[in-house]
Amino acid sequence: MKPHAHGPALAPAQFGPRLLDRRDFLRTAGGLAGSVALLRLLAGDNLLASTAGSVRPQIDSDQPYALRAPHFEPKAKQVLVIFCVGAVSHVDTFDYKPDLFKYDGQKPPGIPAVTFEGPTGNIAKPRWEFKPRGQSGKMVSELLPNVAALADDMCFIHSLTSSTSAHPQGENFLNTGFTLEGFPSLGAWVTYALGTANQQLPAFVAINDPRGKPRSGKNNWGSGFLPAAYQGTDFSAARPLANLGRPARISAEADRRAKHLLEAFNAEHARKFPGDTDLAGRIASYELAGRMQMSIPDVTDLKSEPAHVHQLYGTDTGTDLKKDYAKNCILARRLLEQGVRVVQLFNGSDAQANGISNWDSHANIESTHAMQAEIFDQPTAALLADMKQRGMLKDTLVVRCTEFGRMPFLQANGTGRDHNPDSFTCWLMGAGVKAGTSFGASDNFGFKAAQDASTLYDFNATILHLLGLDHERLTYYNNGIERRLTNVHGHVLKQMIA
Amino acid sequence: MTVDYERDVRPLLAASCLDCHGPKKQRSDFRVDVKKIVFAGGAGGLPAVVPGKSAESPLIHYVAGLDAEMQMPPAGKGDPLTPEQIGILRAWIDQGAAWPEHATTAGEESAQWWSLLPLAKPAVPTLAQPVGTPVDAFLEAKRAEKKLTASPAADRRTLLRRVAITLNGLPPTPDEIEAFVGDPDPRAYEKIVDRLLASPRFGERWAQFWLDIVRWSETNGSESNLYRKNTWPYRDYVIRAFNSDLPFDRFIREQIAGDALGVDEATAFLVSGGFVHAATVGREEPAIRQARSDRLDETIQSVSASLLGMTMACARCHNHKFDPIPQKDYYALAAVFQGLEYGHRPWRNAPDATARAARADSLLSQFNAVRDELRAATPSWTEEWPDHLETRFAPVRARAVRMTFVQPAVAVVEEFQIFGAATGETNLALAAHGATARSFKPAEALMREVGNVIDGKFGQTFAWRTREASEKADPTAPAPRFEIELPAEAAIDRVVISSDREALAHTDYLIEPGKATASGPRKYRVEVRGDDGAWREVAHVDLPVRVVPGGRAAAKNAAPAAPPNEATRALLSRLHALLRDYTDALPPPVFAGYFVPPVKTHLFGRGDPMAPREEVVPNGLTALRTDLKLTSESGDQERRLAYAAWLTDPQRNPLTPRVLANRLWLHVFGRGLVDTPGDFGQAGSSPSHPELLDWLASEFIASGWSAKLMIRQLVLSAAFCQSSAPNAEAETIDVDARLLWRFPPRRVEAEVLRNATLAVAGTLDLTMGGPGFRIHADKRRYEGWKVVDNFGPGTWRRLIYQENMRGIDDRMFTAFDRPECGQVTPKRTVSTTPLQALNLFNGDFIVTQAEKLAERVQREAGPDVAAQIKRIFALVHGRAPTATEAAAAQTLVAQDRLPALGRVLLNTNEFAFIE
Repeated sequence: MKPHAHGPALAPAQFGPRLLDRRDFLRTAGGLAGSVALLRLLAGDNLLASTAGSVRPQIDSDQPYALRAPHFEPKAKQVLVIFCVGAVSHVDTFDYKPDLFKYDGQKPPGIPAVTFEGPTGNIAKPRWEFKPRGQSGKMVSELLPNVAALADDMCFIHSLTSSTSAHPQGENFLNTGFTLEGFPSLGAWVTYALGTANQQLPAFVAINDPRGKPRSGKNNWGSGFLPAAYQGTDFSAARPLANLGRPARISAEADRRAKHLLEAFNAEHARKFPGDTDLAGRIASYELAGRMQMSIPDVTDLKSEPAHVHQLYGTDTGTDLKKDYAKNCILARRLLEQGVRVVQLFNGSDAQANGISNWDSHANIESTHAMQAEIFDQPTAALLADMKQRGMLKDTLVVRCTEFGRMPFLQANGTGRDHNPDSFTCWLMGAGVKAGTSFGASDNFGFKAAQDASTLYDFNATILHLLGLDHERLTYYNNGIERRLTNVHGHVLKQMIA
Repeated sequence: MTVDYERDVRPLLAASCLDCHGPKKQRSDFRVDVKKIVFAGGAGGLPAVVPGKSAESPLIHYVAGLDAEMQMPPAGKGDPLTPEQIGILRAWIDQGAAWPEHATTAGEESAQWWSLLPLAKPAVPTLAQPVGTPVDAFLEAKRAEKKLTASPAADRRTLLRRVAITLNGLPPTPDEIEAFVGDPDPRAYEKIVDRLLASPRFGERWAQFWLDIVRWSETNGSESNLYRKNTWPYRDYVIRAFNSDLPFDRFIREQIAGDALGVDEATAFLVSGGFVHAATVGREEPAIRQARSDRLDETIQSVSASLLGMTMACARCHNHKFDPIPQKDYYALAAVFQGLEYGHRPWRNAPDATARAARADSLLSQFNAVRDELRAATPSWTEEWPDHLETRFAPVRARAVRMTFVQPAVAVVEEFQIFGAATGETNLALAAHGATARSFKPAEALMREVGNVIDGKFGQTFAWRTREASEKADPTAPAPRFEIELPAEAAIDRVVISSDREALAHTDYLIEPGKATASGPRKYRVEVRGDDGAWREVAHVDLPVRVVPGGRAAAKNAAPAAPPNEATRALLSRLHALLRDYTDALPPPVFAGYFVPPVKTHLFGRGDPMAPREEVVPNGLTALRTDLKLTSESGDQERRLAYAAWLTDPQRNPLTPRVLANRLWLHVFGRGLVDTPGDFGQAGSSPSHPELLDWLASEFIASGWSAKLMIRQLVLSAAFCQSSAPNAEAETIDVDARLLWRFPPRRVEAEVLRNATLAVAGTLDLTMGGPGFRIHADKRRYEGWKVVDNFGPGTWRRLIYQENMRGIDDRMFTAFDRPECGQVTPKRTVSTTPLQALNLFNGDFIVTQAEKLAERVQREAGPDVAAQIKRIFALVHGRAPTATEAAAAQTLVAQDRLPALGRVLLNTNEFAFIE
């Protein structure tokens, strides 16, 4: 996890100062290094009306990813967000509701006539058997047997609510705190606040589903109005980062020579502007890019993983989609091991492959959820178990989320369940999490949050809290408002914290 | 006893409430120390105190704990008030809640806020030693206060590159540089400036800034992110406005009410934001109302960020925390645009509108003549209009119409209309007019309910289908059909069937553009029942299946209708030829919004459309004592015209000229006099040179709102022409050169980097206007846009012409802080990331252009490597290489050839910065 100070040694530049240590370079070239006046702040317009108590990270514009202190002692240093796209049915997975068996096929009072997609049908019992798991005896269904085995490590929240029942807005709301587009994502906020430990890899990686991007696409890992430096970098085991490799027409030697000449030209040019941090920052970005060209292929090369790891994650069994998702799971673990601050792992996409795109199950809850679970269960469980066994859960927070839940009743004349924004289940695991417990409860049917009803603002506030950040103080001025991930809402769910 | 605010009330509130509702924190956006907030309300927008009525004052309810959840102070935050203290508060309120004016705090002084004060033209400072232009005099006065001095003039090479990029977004050519460097004319620089201002490249550069602010994009955003056919005319309009120096007040009025001023495309400004497609909104009433409220909010964001400099977003849910903008003001602005809806309308002033109109008239009369012939020749026929089918038959009395679909494939009907000769364009089948619909299918989901065909709404979200795609075709099942019952018998002679008007008329690039049409109704019977109760067939339609590339063909096993005879076929074919020509001649649709009769506007409690409160009439800002004299009955256009007139009347509204002068300054000097160009309120930054800003705003108005004259004035200033060389001493006083002791060097924007690359490589295609160039593949409705070619020859126009899909990374220049058009962008962020370096060093774009650059250099400099190196430096950097640079370059070229050197130079800092 220790970040490397420098990349692989380069041959000496042909003239001008070597740029391997830019601080040093600034000192020799400008004699102004260390001058307080040089610290230009990237954090929005620092002179503006920050309300009392808000903390704008002090960001040196030439080192946007430098490590920055959290607001208080964090429980977790990194975060892995596993996002089940399309809305997982909580009543078929983690939220056990015996009344659904009792009322199966009936339409008790209180069920609305119309939900998101249209008229409602009757209560339907879970399509999979629930069994007690581990020491905690947590009831989890047989849809996800491997993930269920880790229930003792999880802290479930059963009383989450969203403010929308449409997927794209729901994705936005979960990941940015706003249903509209163009707001910074959780990962962007975290890297804006904290920077990252490993300067040779992106601070925030979004690993897309093998089928493609989620419905709200880049908005899920976008930087919104934060500087572009904080947007997630998206690549996956199958899809490498665009423009990472040198152009095919250019040999490795020629590429290296070109880089050296560029460094030399830039160094010569910088003499005219001693101490200019904007110029130095751009020079540094090429160095960082050069290091990423080495480190990203390293980290995405799964061939170096032993066979038993591949077997554990299931990269060579089951459907192609499952194999590819399993590779993404290994990649997630490797990125976290290398100190990447935020890893977002998608399970589900907007695009379809093999007749399925994500967890959305309007037509048939049974077949769609089963197909999606086949992809999700083994690799995800392997990732979690592997991280635990490697001791990574001591420093890493794992968040398993979905944009909303599904209805306890079927859609009229159908076999699918419609969207349910009024009650759904997510869980946390790892650093700082009260393992083996459940918080909040839905009503008898899992229809509405009944006890400790909580919002996604609360959920996101809790994630930030575990990372040592106060969601009310982490702000960025944009167009008249000191913006936050949690808008003007949110309470930390202390009951989920160890 | 008379309760005294200062003596009795203030200390009490301060002791119990101020920690959470004061200067430090504003829980629920409420403060007890600001009179206005106490009487007008905080986050809830409700007054906390109703003078004279303590029983109705929420403040009393809270402190008395009438609502346990709202007990104030909350448990753990302080002791509850004693009955005696509550008594004091009640007595104070019941005695009229006197709150002396002098007892106000800073929060209330905002009515005197600088940006809201009337605009007066300050005198130009008189200096002991006169400097440059009046602009310089203002700057020098400020510099002198800080003991700073201006820098000497920049050298001509640097200056020319600076001004050329600032005005045209392109670097000068080597010839232009040499000519300017050697020009002895004292007016040499002025001549350059005037040439650059007159160049069409000026509009292409400056339009981008305007498009940024309003996050103009060519797709709708959200899940399906559909392409907005013909919204590029707005991009061209903005470019034209800058090039022709359209007076800015006129420019504003056209963008708000262009439909009334002969510029239809200009109102695309109002709908430049994204919105959620009805299909994704869902069926629930709260979601539908929220979506409408969100659309209006996008419009309010555009107007307020670009023109008002007052951020209205806060006031959607509560009174503004910092600025004198009550929640009512937000809804008054919403009321101005209550008649606006997102979508297309005919582009009546399209470039060849007059010729088109004449052509359309002539074609229509020919068309009608053929139609008359058809009427004589056949009892019924069907016209295939681009976005609907029209089946015509001999006039008949009808109480009901039955449609029977004889094909087993999925056929979609989103709207079904019935017309008669006597009733003209009145649709007799509207539910709103009393028609009813029923279908003969075992089950219908609400989204597919037959009532959708007579609800007056187009759009497949609310359509009827003969059967669902998931159902198996059953040849024995009766043919699907529906019946429309009219409220009274009427004479009818035609029915109109629409299946997917949006896909056919208003969007583009869908892989299955006519999916619905291809599988839509092609074979059907139209039957009519009169008051006599007998059904009779009036048309039996059997159209050839329309096969659209990529679309699904319909099944063909239906019984064919009787084929029309030879003569009828010929007439039909002539009719359709004319129909196509006529349609082409009609004004094309432009995505510039359309207008509907405005409904009453209500203030929404906490911004929740399900919590409407008092009615609000259209108006401008309360803080400027605006009265537009409008009511809830005022017409849509009247509202927008009145608002646009107010926006551009500096006597009534000093904000707009201040905001615009600042914007022009920002794009010349890289930073505004006010650093928050979209926010001139208390949360924004204060102007570095307030007098200069007002002087510029006044000049701007005096010049007839001429952007070109204002920009000319700025680039002719000594401040713009000075050197950008650093100065350690000055930097300790003013590191960012906000006081302009030097010209502040800055990174160029994505557009400049890309366009300059094309220009120096000699590949820049200067074709102006029209549809943009594509970099994306066609897509399915629910699928993201994929970049397929962001570097090939088809993409070598200026970046402003690249089709701009909302929220989509172009895999090249988005990384350079190019806005993704989700939120308004009053000012771009500038960041430096390794992704930029990877894109620019490894991307196909630069590699290709480096090769083109090398070809050009070889062509122009011949085979001698030294001459080539000299030429490539002249092209890219506008100067000769130093001896060291030349030597290093020679070494590289010897090993890796000239394109390698081009790749290096196009990546240098020197190329990416304005000095």
